[in-house]
Amino acid sequence: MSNSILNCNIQISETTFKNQYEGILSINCQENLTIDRILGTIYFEARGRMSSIKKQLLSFNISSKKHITKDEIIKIPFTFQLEESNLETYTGKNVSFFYNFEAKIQVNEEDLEKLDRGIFKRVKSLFTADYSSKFSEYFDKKNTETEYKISEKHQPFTLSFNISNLYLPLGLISSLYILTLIYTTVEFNGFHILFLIIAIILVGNLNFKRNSKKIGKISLKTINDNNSFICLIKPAKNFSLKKSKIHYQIIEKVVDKRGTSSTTNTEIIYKSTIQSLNNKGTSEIRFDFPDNKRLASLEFDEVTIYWEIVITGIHAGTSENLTCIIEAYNI
Amino acid sequence: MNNDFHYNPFSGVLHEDIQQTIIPSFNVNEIINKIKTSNSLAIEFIGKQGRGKTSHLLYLQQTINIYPIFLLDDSSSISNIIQSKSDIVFIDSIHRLNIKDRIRLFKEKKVVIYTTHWSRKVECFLTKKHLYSISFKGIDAKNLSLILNRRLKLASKNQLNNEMLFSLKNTSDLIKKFGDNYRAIINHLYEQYQ
Repeated sequence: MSNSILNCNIQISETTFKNQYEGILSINCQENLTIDRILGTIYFEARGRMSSIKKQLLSFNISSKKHITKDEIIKIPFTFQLEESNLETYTGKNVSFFYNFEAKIQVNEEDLEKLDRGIFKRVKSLFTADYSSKFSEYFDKKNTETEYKISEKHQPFTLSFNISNLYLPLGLISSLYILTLIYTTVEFNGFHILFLIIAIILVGNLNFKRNSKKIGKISLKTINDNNSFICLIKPAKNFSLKKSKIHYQIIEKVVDKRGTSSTTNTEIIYKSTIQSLNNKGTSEIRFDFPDNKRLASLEFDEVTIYWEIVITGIHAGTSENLTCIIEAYNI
Repeated sequence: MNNDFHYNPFSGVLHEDIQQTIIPSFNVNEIINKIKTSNSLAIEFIGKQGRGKTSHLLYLQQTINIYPIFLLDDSSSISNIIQSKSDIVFIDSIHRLNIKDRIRLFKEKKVVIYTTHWSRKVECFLTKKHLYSISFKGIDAKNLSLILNRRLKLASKNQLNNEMLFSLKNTSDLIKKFGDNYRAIINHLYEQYQ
C-alpha cells in the first residue's frame, strides 16, 4: 500500500437563478487513479442547545467513471437546486442552521493499493465496504429577498402572567399565617410551607384573572407599509393600563429535549424602539422592520422564531405586559 | 460564531457523531457480554440530569445496533416497544412509562437497558429481573478534557493548535464551577463559542 493521498477541494456558490447553486470539485492524487463514481449529497443541519438534526435534502450523481492522472488536478463542475421552502442559513443565540455538501468518491477497487491506508480507516467508520471517501463543505443559503411583510390581522392582546401578580397574595397569606401562629394554638409545621406555596399560587392565579378583567381589552390591527408596518391599537373604553408603551420583539425559542428531561431556552434576538401609547381612542404606531432580513417567523422541529407586539404599563401599582403574536415573512 | 469551526462544537451532538465524542465511563465489552448472555436482566443508567446517561445509552446501542432503541417523550406509549420483535431493547427516559407499563415491559422483554433518575428496583423485584446499575456520578478533569477536545476537533475547519485545546487546568476550573454537571459545562461553553 502506498502513501498517496486523495485530495478533494470543494467550491460552492449561488447562481443568479433562485435557489440554484454551482460547484467545482478539484481532485488530485500522487498516483494515476480511476474513480468509479462521484455522488453528491446535500444535508440541512440544525445545531444548537438541543438535539441537533441532520436531514438529507437531495442526492445526485456528479460523475461516473473518471481517470485521474498523477499530480494533475481535475476539475468537475456540478449544479443542484434547493427547494424554495428550505430554510435560510441562520445563526441565532441557541440554534444555527447550516447547509452541508458532501462528495462521496468511489475509487476503483483495483487502485485501492495505491492509496494511503488512512483514508480507508475513515471509510471503514463511515461506510460498509464500498471503497469510497467523503469530503464535505458547508455553504450558505442566503435570503435573496430584501423585504419583510407581516400577516395583516385583527386580534386581541392577552395579559402575560407576571410575578407581580403573586406579591399581593404573598403578603396577605403570609400575614394571615403569622397572625394565626401568634393568636391561635396552631404551631409551625414544615408541611405548612407547602400548603402556603400552593395557596399563594392559587390566589395569585385568581389575582391574575381579576387583573386581566380590570385592565380591560385592547386589540391590534396590523397593516404593511413599505419598509415598515403600522399597528392600529384600539383600547376598550374601560382600558386602564397607565403609562402605556409599545414595542415589538423577535424571540427565538428552542426546546432542549436532550437527555431525560427537557428545558426551554428563550432569547430576545431583536427589540424595536419603544413608543408611547395613547390610552384613549385608536393609536397608529409605525415600526421599522429590522435590518437583519433573516429573522422571519418560523417553526422547525423544536425551534420557533416569533414576532411579538408588547404593551407595557402600570396597573394597581405593578407593571404589566400585554402581548400579541404576529407573523412575519420574507417576500 | 467562532471562525475556526464549521459549527459550535458544544451544540447537541448528532447521533452519527456519538461514537467519536464519547469516552465510555464503563467497560463496554463487559456490558455487551452481560446483554448477550443473560436471560433476564435490567441494566439501568442512573444519575441526575445532564450527567451523560442518554449519550452513553446511544453509544452502547450503536455498538450493538441490531437491538432497537426507543427515545421516549410525553406522547410515547408502550405498544411500539412491545410490538418490536427484539427481546433486547434500549429505552431512554423510562420514567415516561407508568409503573404498570414498566412492569409489562420487564415481563415481556428479556433484557432492558434504560436511563432513569431513580432506581427501578421495585419493578425488577416484581418481575424477578436481575438488576445491574451503572451510576453516572462524578467527572474527572482528564476525561473531561479528552471529551471537550474531541468535540473541538470534530467541528474544526483546520488542525487545532495546543492553545485552542482544553488543558487539565481549564477542565479543573470548569469542574470547580459546575461540579459533575456535564450538561451545564457544555451549555456554558456553547455560549462562549456561539
